[in-house]
Amino acid sequence: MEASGHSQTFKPTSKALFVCFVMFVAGMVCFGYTLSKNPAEAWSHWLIGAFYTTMMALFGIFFCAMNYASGAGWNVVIRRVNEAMASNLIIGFLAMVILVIGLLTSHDKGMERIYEWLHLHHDHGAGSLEHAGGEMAAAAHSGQSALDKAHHELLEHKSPWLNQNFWIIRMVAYFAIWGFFAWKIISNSRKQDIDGDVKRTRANVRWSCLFIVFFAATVCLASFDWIMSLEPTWFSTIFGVYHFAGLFAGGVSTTIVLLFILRRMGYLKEVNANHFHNLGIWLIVTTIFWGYIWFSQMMLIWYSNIPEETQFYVFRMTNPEWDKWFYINLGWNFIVPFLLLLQQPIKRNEKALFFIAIWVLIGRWIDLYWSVGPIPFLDHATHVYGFSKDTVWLSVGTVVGFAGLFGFVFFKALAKAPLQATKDPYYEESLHHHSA
Amino acid sequence: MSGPERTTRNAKIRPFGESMMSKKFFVGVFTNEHDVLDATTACREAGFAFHDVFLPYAVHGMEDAMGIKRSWLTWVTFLAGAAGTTIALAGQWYVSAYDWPLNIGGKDPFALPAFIPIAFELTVLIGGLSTVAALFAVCKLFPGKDVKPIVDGVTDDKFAIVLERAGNFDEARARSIFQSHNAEQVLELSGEKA
Repeated sequence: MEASGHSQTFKPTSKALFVCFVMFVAGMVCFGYTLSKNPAEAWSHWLIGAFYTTMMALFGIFFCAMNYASGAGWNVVIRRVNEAMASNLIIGFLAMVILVIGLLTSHDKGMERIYEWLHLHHDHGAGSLEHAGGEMAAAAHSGQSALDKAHHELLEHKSPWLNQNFWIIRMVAYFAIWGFFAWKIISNSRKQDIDGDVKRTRANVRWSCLFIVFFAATVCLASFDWIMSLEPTWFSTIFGVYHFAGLFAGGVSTTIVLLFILRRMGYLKEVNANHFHNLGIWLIVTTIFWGYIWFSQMMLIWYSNIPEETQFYVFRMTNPEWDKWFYINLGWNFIVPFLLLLQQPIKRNEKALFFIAIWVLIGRWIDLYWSVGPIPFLDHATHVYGFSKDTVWLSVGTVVGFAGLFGFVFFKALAKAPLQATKDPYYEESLHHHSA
Repeated sequence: MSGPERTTRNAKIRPFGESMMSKKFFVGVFTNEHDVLDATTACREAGFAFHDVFLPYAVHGMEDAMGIKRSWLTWVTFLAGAAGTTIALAGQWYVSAYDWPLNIGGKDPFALPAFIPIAFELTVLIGGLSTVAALFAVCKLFPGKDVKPIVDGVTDDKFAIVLERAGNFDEARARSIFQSHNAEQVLELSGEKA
């Protein structure tokens, strides 16, 4: 493979595609096995994979947009990598559609715990409602009826927003918005490869500014819709920001990992320690940001100690097998990468940065699993039962499957355009970028 | 380019600090950052000792060109920051949990999450102020210090390489390096008592 050249194009090796394919198959085996044992758990794993994939794809276009909007030039040599990451929005969309189909077609009792509000029925006249399963109806006659009644009234109260049709419409709308802006920004970038017209960059600055406004709103709403509504009576207003922080830290890590792999394959020789330094700076900044938001959410809820807010933490911190994960999440995602990345030589060292990026990507799974994993084992009367670490590896496996699919689509998308946007007005600046 | 017009505006030479009282210097004045970067690299490679290079703004790559090692100031920031965290936590522990245990909202007297914002603030405050203080101490700076620029314009649009004339200083070599990189002026200076 030639190491330089202005119109170099990426060709995925069959080995790379095969590795991705094997990861995908292994993941689907894990998912299929879980599905046969406990469908609710399987779909919670699927949701983690779909959300993770969507967020990483979204980071691809967000990072391009952010750098256009801020007039940054250094990222031009790595922009095609971020553009190709954005192609995985289609995988995120398909995964969410499959999730919806899975949710709506399953008749398993345990499935009612995933998006509990999805199973509300209004078929007993206005005002009255009954849970889809017999379980809740039976519980309504037991000593828990007052709690159930209050719980159902709350779900009913929230139903104008949290109902099946509107939820699906919103999901499609989010992907439509993201997809539209990704298509606009990327196609402008590709057109510039041909005509080198500066007005493409100017147009992208405008599209990017507009996108960031929509992005901020849709990422918050998507994390409310897909993750927070798993516990529909719980709310945290900072939740969207929390997942944006995760998106950013994970996305920078994904970029570093993909760059490392591509450079090992002999591509992107233009990328040097200065570009890695910038990515390392982004990584420590977003790690700090995540830690800050993690703490802001946790501390305010802990301090005010209001039942409808604390339930999220009480569920997770009173389970004897999972209480430690609260600290593992903080230590893994904040303290370790923070202390390592404080050192400048590490930020400029490609290999060290690669390992930290892998660490952070594992941390993203820990964070999501800690949020979503307990849901199939949760009931609204503040009990967690049966939530054990025995099946953790199945969630890891499912996410690895999504990572394989992500890699496959990424490699295919990257091969569709020259690896360098050589006619971008900032290309020269990016080549000579200096950071220290 | 280095015609007579360029040298018409002669720089006014001034003594520049007590540390330079008894030293002699050889100065090249440049008008753009590419020349000064290349000339600096050439001087380092020729083995000249820098007093300093004066720039009107931060020129990327100058540390490498001068062969300056990484600053140890970041360690001051880190250690002072860690001290700030420790002081904040110890202080809050002492007043809220040890000396007179306080029950606030039924929380533990040593309510660690509630102490974190203050620990964070003191980390940033002490880390930041200590870094500035260390920088001032190392550079012998203080508010109100009257620092005269060595050449008029190094705070405006001129770049000056200041070499130390010590030992067997090869003046011809230095002069040729400066002139081959389009030096606007080549000066000899000796630090006088101000």
